[in-house]
Amino acid sequence: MREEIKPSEILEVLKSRISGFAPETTEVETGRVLQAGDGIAQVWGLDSILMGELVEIDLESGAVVNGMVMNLEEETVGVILFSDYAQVREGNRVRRTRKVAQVPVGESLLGRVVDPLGNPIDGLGPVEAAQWNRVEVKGPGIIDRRNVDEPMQTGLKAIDAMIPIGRGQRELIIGDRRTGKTTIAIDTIINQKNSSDEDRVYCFYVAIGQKRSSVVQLIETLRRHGVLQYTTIVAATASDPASLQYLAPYAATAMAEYFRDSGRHALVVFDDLTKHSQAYRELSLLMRRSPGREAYPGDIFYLHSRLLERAAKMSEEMGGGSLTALPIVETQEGDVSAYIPTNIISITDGQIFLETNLFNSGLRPAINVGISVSRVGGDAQLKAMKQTAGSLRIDLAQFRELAAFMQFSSDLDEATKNQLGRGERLTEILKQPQYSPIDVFKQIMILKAGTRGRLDKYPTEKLLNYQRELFAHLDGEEAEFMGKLRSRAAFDRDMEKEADALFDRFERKFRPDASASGVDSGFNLNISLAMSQGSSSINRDMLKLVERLTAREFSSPTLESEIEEIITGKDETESDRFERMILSCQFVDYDESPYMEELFKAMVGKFSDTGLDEGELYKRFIAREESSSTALSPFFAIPHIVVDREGVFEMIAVRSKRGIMFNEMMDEVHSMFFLAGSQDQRHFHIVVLSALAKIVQHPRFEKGWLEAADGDGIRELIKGIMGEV
Amino acid sequence: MKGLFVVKRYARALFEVSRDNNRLGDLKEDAAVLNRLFTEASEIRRYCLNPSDSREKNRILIDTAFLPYLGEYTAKTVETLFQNGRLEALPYLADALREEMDRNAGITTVIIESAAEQNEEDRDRIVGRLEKRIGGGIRPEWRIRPELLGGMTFQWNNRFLDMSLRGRVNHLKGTLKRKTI
Repeated sequence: MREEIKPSEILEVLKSRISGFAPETTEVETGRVLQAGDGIAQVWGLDSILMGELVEIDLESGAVVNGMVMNLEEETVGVILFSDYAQVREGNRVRRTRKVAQVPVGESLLGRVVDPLGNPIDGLGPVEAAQWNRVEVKGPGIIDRRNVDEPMQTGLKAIDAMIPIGRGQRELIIGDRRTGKTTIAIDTIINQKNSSDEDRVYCFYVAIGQKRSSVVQLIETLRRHGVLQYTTIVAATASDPASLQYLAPYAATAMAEYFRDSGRHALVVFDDLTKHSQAYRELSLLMRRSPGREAYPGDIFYLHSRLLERAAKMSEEMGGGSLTALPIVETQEGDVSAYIPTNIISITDGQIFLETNLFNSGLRPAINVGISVSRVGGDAQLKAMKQTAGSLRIDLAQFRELAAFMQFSSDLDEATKNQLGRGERLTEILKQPQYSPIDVFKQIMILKAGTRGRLDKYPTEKLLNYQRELFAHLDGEEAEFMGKLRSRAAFDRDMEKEADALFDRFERKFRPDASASGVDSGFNLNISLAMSQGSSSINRDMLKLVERLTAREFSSPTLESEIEEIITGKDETESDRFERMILSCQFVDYDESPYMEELFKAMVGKFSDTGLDEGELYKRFIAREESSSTALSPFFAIPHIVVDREGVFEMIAVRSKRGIMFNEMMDEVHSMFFLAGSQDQRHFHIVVLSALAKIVQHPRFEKGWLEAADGDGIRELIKGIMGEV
Repeated sequence: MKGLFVVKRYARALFEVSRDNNRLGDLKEDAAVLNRLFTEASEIRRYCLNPSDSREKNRILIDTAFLPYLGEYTAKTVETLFQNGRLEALPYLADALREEMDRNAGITTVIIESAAEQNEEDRDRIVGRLEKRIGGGIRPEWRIRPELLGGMTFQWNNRFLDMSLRGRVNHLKGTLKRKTI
């Protein structure tokens, strides 16, 4: 192949360059470290340095520490240090780089975990960037933007129906600790799995000041749900310097802007800006900037306003891309009037407010719809959703007001009773377990059933069952209607009629009494409460507990009464068999890994006669956990499956002193009973579940379980407890 | 190190007063005395960098170790530093004075670090090139640093020129890390 000759390669030019060749050298301005400590250095001598410029500090060991200029003072400059700052000494040479902070951007960052400087920290090799973008840039101008008019579906009924978010919006998620803030953000990321390639939303999750173990859990969650491949995690954990925590949201936004500016859609979750403010406060105080309210510096508002201004829906001329921001803020005791929450509330286009009381009462996501608001998302909401859920917020507000008032009254008229019943049902259908976002058109249909009063005739506890079966019905027999709804995204008179006919058909088929097992969002809490109560009042709760825990394959209309008979001792047919089994079953002490998946892998090899290979057993145990967690309390779990071969029932007791993580919302589990039984052993299976639930709530169980020397000690403990209960 | 940029102001003032009173000769001697004092008596240097809280003790040090050996204006400068609570800046005074005198004479001190020892011929050539580049006379300070692997680095005022092999390798490392597709 003939090579093209470049103009710079003409013979005369080459000759003159060779004769006058001078090696390339760069003369840089240097300074000296005057003082260093706590991630900050005062540097003298960098007279012409720029604000935000990166510097390199040469250590005596020959290593180089990077930093960024944060303060320009009369004689010195203040530098924040990004890496091994403990080794920086007075007198070290500081070199200018003439560069401001930049991060790699591009498609190759998807599926990766990086630090705020863009260095990969997931061990998957270097990131090949499409380009490098500046970390600090101004948000797009007025002309370049357009109104938010495309929906960002979160997959959460309560949000998509009442607090709709649009692409390019900034919606704050705010609440106390452990109210499900991160879960909402993760659900939103998981829900993007359903979007098509041309409509894909690329997600960026920024972990600021979090535990490294939490970040690992998050990565695993995203991987398990198949969404890691279009997500980038930017992690500045609690053990990283405050400087990196300060930089992290800007770095992630720079990465997301690459997608926004190329006409695509990006979502950034800042988890959380409270810790970001604290990191910035730390740096500012160390830099001796004047402290203001709550010791935050004067520019704390600008810190977040300039960050969130970069979220935008771009005009058609600019490619029509978008960058949606979901900042998270943690409050103390629900106080939204603190400094940082009020600042960010005023910057963002609305807020989703989560409450501890709602969370603890089992209403999850624990959104207080009364004070949650979306200021611009209404324009982006699907017309069909608007038609269906338009009055939902008002209906619920009226219900809450009425419910509060009715606490003082006992005699209710029919209309009030109906209104209360409707509100209760609407509240129930807004519940949603974590990591299970729902397609927006299915959301519309279940909400339609609620607002049209079609759920009024069913007891509240059967509604999640109704929902599950309705969705299955929509996917199966009503696929044509759903296709039409998806293409029109609105209800006209004909569609309304068709929807009514659809509900009629479904209701003829739906049998609320034949309930399949299922776990609602408040399930674990109910169980925890049941377990924390005294044994005299526990039977009713335990009954519900066992009913819900029982594998789907064993459910029947008479399940409840069967369990009741076992728990109350009326049915003693197989109690001797249970006693024999529990006292002779395998006992395993397992502390190799804290992860549930690893434990399952280790345990499936110990089953001897199930007729299934290890791979299949593992798959079934995992599928069982995915349908609902079998961790019943922060201490105890019963992973159990149904096998195909007849006459099988095996049990393995496992103790983990270190603890096993079954789900993110609970503490580690220490006591596990693995069960694998066949369909013909259904009754015994229920006996075992009921009896175990009874044993583990004994006050002596937890302490005795952890302190027992070995399997024999455990058997002694169980024998003793069985004698007492 | 904190005292370094503080003492520069004192050095400039002392230099200008001495020049106006035709006492630059004394100043040169005083700079040499101070330099000797701090290099030969390291305990005095250590004491000055971390002076005692007791003003009396510090007074005794100034009266016995400094004032008897210094010219009029330098002694007054030392006294002023003491009265302003800037004892920790005193060890840097000699360097600051020398820098000030060099600046006035158009001489720049250049620290030249190289991986290996240079012969006289090479040194002369390097000095010639540097004088051309910096402009004016230079006072070279030669240092050997094998960790540079090859080549040399030059440092004058607050400028740094890296022509070492290690610098090139570091530069290459940075370029490779920022590789784009």
